[in-house]
Amino acid sequence: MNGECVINVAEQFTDAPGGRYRKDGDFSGEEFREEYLEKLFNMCETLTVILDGAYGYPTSFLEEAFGGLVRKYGRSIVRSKLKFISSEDPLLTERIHKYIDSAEQ
Amino acid sequence: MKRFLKYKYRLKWREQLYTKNRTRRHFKRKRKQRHIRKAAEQAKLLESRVARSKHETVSAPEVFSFVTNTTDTLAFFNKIENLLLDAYPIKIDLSKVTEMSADSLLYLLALFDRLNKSRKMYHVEGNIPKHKTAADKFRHSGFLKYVTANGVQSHTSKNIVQIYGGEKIETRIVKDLVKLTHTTLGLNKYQTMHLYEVLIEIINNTVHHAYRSKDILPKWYAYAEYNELERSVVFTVLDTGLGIPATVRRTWGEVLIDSVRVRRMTDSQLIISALDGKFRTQTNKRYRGRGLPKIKSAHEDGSLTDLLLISRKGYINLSSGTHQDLGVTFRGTLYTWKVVAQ
Repeated sequence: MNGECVINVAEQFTDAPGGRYRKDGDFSGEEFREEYLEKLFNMCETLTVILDGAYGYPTSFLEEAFGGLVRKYGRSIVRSKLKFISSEDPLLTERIHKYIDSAEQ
Repeated sequence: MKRFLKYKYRLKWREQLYTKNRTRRHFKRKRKQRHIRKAAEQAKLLESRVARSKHETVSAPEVFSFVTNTTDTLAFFNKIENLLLDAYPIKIDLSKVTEMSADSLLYLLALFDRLNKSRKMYHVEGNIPKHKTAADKFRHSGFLKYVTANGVQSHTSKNIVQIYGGEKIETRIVKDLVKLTHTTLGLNKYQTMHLYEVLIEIINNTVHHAYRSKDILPKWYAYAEYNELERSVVFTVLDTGLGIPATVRRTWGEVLIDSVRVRRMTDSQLIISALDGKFRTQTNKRYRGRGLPKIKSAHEDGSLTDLLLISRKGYINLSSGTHQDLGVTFRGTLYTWKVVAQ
């Protein structure tokens, strides 16, 4: 298992995140979780997600990406492994933590 | 009386099913045959009316806009739709229009789209407004790209994102809509984050909730235009689905009240309830249903102004805090708002 991993959403995935599911269109939360988040989540001890540089993060995208991770792996492990950097919008990190806390397991 | 007849009809159907040894498939086939026969009759009727130039002319109101003239514009569309359903070829007369907004053109396109999807034959002709400003707006809107236009050319402008109709969430288009506020109002990515999120949420709602039938593809239309005088960008998004009041989840109590017809929640009340974030998602999942509250919060923090929402009979003006129920049903959901220079 790798030590610390970093993923920059805008640079490595897209600067224009989409909706919830793959069937809804490109760059969905489900696609991001399955193709990027889960792979790194399983490989690394901690994972830092850089959120700067995107046009915005729709609620459904965030909920499916991070809430979906909670539904699959459990809240405590997601909470302990994931870190977020959002210097452009500091409230974004708070929003994501809210989705992690309210996701149904 | 109506209920009684319906019940009697059902009884007859069931009686026949068991006594005359007829299957459900038999009735389905009969219904389909009836439907095909009726469609063929209507197509024949339409063809003969077109051949005899028996067109019905429908004049659009002077103010052709759902935002500023909701009742008349809705009545105009209602008339068009009824005539088309009765197989009349029609002429849409826009010559007297002096003021128009994109929402009415989006609704017209959506109407054609709905007729195409139902495989109904129709014949529509039309003209453009005589008023210079209204005619310019019409030409620049992108409406002409979707219809056959003889001698009328569509224009483009860097201050307009022309009408676009999509079936999925297309982030490329949403980016174009947002970028218009960057180029015209000088806003940056951070300042328009809420705008981007709201646009995606609206389209997401269309894709997920606006249509119940799997046979009908969800479709949305969007348009954005820079208003130089006001230093604002006006956004218009429309879907022609079932509408928010028809697709939100109702509580058992509400269903019970509806069934006894004592007092029911009006369409505007249901929309407000969904905007307030009350558990209205038809998915029945607690983590869903966050799109409409997000739109409301973006309006409250000033990212969007003059937000207007029309869905079925519900008319909500979030800026003035007023809501009312319309006399005629609006098919689908219309969102319109402004983003002003900061």
